[in-house]
Amino acid sequence: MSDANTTDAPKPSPALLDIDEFNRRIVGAYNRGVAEKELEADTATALSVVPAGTAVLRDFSYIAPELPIYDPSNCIACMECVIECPDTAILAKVVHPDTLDEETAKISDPDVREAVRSRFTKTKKYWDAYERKEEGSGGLFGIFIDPTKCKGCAECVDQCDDFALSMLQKTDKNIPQYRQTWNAYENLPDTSPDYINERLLTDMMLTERTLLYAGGAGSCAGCGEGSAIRMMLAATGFKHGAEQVGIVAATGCNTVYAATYPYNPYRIPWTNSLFENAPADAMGIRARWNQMGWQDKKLWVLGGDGAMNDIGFQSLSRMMLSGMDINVLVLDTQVYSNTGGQASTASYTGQNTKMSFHGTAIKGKTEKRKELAQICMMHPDVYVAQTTCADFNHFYKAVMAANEYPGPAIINVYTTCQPEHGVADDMASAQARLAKESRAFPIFIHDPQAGDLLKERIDLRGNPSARADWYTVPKTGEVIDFITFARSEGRFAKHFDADGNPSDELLAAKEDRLRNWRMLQELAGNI
Amino acid sequence: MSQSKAESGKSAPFPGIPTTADGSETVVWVETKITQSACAYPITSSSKMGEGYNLAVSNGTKNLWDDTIIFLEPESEHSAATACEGFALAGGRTTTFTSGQGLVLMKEVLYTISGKGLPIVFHIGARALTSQSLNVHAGHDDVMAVADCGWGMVFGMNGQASGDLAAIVRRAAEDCGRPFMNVQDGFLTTHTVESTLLAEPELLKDFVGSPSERLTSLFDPHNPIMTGTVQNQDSYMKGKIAQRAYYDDMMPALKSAMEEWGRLTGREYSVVEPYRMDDAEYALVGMGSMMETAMASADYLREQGKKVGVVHVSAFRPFPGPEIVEALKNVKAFAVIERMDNPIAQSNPLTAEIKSSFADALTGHAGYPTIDTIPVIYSGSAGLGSRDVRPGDFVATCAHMWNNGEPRYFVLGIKHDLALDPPFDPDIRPTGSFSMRGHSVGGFGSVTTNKVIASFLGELGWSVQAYPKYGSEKKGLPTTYFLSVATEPIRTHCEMNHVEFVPLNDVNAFQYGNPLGGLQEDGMLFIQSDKTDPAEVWSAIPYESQEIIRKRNIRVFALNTVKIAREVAPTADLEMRMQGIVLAGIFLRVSPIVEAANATKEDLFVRIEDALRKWFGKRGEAVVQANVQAVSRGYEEVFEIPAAIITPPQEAEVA
Amino acid sequence: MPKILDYVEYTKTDDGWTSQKIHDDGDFVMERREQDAIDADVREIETGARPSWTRLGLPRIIVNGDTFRARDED
Repeated sequence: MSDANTTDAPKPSPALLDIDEFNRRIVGAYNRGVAEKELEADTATALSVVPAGTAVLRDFSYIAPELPIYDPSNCIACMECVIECPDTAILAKVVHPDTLDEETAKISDPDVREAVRSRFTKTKKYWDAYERKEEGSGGLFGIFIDPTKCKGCAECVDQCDDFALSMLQKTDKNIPQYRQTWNAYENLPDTSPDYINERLLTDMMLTERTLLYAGGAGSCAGCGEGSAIRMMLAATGFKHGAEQVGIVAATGCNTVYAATYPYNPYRIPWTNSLFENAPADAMGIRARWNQMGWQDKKLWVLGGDGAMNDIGFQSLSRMMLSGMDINVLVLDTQVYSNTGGQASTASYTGQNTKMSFHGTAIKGKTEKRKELAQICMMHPDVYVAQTTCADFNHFYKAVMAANEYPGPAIINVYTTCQPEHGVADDMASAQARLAKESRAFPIFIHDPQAGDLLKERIDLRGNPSARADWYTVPKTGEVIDFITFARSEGRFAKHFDADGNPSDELLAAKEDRLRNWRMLQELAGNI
Repeated sequence: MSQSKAESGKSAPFPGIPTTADGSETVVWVETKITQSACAYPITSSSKMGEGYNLAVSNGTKNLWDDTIIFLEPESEHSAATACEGFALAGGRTTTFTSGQGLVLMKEVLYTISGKGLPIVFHIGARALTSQSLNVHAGHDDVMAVADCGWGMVFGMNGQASGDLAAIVRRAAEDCGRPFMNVQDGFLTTHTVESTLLAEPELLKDFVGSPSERLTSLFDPHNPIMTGTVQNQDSYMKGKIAQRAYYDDMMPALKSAMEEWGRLTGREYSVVEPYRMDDAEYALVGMGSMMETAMASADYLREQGKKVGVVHVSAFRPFPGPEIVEALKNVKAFAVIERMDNPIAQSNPLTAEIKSSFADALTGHAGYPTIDTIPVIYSGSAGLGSRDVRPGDFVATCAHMWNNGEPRYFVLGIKHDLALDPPFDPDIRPTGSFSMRGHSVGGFGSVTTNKVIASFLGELGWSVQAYPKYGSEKKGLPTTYFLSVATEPIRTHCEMNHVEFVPLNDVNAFQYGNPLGGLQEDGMLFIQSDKTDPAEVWSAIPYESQEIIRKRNIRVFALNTVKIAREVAPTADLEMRMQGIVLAGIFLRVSPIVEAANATKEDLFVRIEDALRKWFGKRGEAVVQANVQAVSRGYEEVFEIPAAIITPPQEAEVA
Repeated sequence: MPKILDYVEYTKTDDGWTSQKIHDDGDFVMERREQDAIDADVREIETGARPSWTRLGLPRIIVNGDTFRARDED
């Protein structure tokens, strides 16, 4: 027998996990900063089971010096800020004016009441269009910022082409205002289905059932992965509902920022086993779900390029041959982000990463990038998409198709990793878009049901000038190639001399990207 | 032990279903009834369990609660263990089967399964790890390599125990919310066919209980929670230490499951199984199949007036320290024999834990028996990679102890400075045993034949034991197989050096080694031969062997089994295998079994047909009938070399 | 971090009131497009109140070159 000093601590049944108690006692202690010293070593920590959505109680308002300020008069309700926010810190609702009057009347503080009212504006999309059809049916659109979730990355500002968002210095006065306004916003009713066009994918996040990844994850400011996870869950939740989805996550950044005890940003079941085995874990879950008759439920695997290209590649490959209805979202940062930025097989030639340092003798990564999506589509009957969050329609359609596809589906998504790529916090979408335009990361869909021939199954639409080698910007005549992309990121900075000329290694990387692009063109019948 | 189990079982509510089965089959019998899935990757020697489970799945088998069972074969043991984790996380009852490298490849996942509190049961065919070389046979370095992953770990001495423990640890695991490994020795137990009692399905249903009532889903979209979180300095150590609350329940859960099983079946198990320890002065201690050989050896030594007992440690995790001290505290010396060697540890693992237990007992640790002295503790390595562990080795070990021998660490069964030489190798089989050692060539079907004969004799009510000496090679190389029949359970798990019958399927057997070694006085030899003239058969035997045959008064039989096999085999690919089946008929003819059973030939062949249908039924009736014919012709057509040819009259006169 | 709002500017011109959002020490300027909204803001300013959209966040406001302070701000 071991040296146990037997404790009589009761064992909580996870099914009976008391969420309120957990939030009050455990999350409360963490929020007060006393958990480390005060919380006992009890069976709650032993199980390390966390209820859904505890991360919404987390307060990040101390993190960044600024937060967005919303100018409703310029807003056209495009929703791009809401879609791309990695932290679920900026949300929108459409409310009928009568409802708004009714609801805001309940707010006792006149300043808060006015702050809420003044967020709402008449847009063409939700007011004019509706009023034209039927007078009195128009809705007011409003954007709200959760100061406790915003990390100040300014991705939303970058998304806004209409100058409706700016960053604003936080002050002792405006932070409490933002909090009160946000709390009042949360009490407003969910956007009525009348204002949600099922075909307009950008509208999805207007409704709460899409917000399955709440804020409060400890990811870096502007993290491209956060947006991808949110968007995947939005598209899945919108179509299938929260009670139809679960996530198996491979160890990586995604498990560290989204599962550090006791903060859980997910509103769905989530598990992590290890780094290299998430697809196998999912096979076990899928088998049991199917045995229970839960064929309709959607099971997603999350993992980075390390987990899927490298250490967990054989597990992924095996899963794809199982024919099981399992979807995989590969968060391709082209680097081992979680361990601090070491080269993966997804890293680009020339990329200056740890374990592939750019030095005096060796100029960064010498090997070529492994194209996981192409490899996946050579497995029989696997739906494959390669996409970016910047192409949100492409992304959403891929997710929805993956959910509909009855077998394995793999979505390889470009995700900007600010610290390892050497780009600014608000550049996640911009760099993803440039990666696509420069052929560093072409987007495509491989749908096994689309035809017998590869060229029928592969769709390169979404890439600019899909029949050309490189994309030329029509207005300026500028040719966007891999060098253009490399010039914009710190990870390639050492390949440029004082005059901005690229190194031979980088030119070789450009050649590699062109060959990859031409192969895709050939497979898709674009040549 | 198995003898007492079988006998006491007769009055128990669930005495068991008598059959012959190996350790793989006893496990598959239980698991296909109580689990909802298995996720396994093939690795010798555990593959037989995975294959057995998979066959049940392919046949659409439903478990006792009407779930159609599922089999997954991922791409590695790591993924197999992981798929089990996923299945269990979603509230399902699952298992895997693995060995050796597979088990250590699973190691990383073993921690996440125990950490999440998933009460899974894994079945292990314990196997030597690949180090200076690969070895597919029994060893305990694989299980010892994963002994600290938060899993319970029990060892069965034979297939009976492995099947019973499969149900016991499932019950215990789900009672305490922690996983268990059910360990049996690769090949020595997984592939040794013995007379066995299978648990009644209705017993399993009540004893283990419905998965839906016993298990909780931690991955349910209707009750979403997060598992497998990240914990830092603020919480990780708290979580780890707080898990002690669960582990404190493990030993009571295991003991209680064993007790209830014993009450229901009459087959008693305990975390430490002492044998003839009441007045023992010397003890042999260890885990797994060799300890049953040790028990039979102790009986022999007792007959010689030596007070020797045996302690089988059936639960290595949770470690039964106080129970072991209680069992061993009064002996002068004991030797812990382990199927592994770690020369740079303080001691090999079981020895080290027993020493620690005695240190705790001597220094008054709460919960331990009070002692004022510690017996002399010897430690030995034996049976690595299925190196034969013989009764003589245990005799040598005991002699070493009562001679106050040095060194305290020794090895058995090889030539080495640290090795103990057996003074002699006693025949410790039950009185009246009839043993066969066959010499054949891989692919001849002899291994299957051996099992068919065993199955048949088991049906007749004899205690049997049948196993081949497996090599890692494939077809066409010499193989040896063993079969013993007795009226009492056969407890020796070593190669049969005392045999009554030696069939030589392989005409070249005289050319390599000595096929007559261990063949007893008045024993029988069968030679595969294409000659029909007894004199020609005899003259083909080398002179040295002829001399031995004469000296030991051995009877010699012959038959062209190749020709018969060719004539009866329905398809050419079965010819080789059918030769072995013909041998079954020859065995029945020459052994005293049929006579002793008082069976008519007709009655005999009805039973043979049943046994053959059990083995070959799934291949169709034509194959079954061809096999019946093969046995029948072997029985009828085998001929004996007349004594006059073996010992010509003039020689006899001279003699 | 770019795009930090310095102040919101309201300027009376011959063509009526204009409004701009001045960022990053003047390096980045956002035009405000909705004249109705700008006029409504100015009406509020004329009563001594902040334009309602700026009451959440309280950005600095400059009207015709002068810093604006609402009645209830010190």
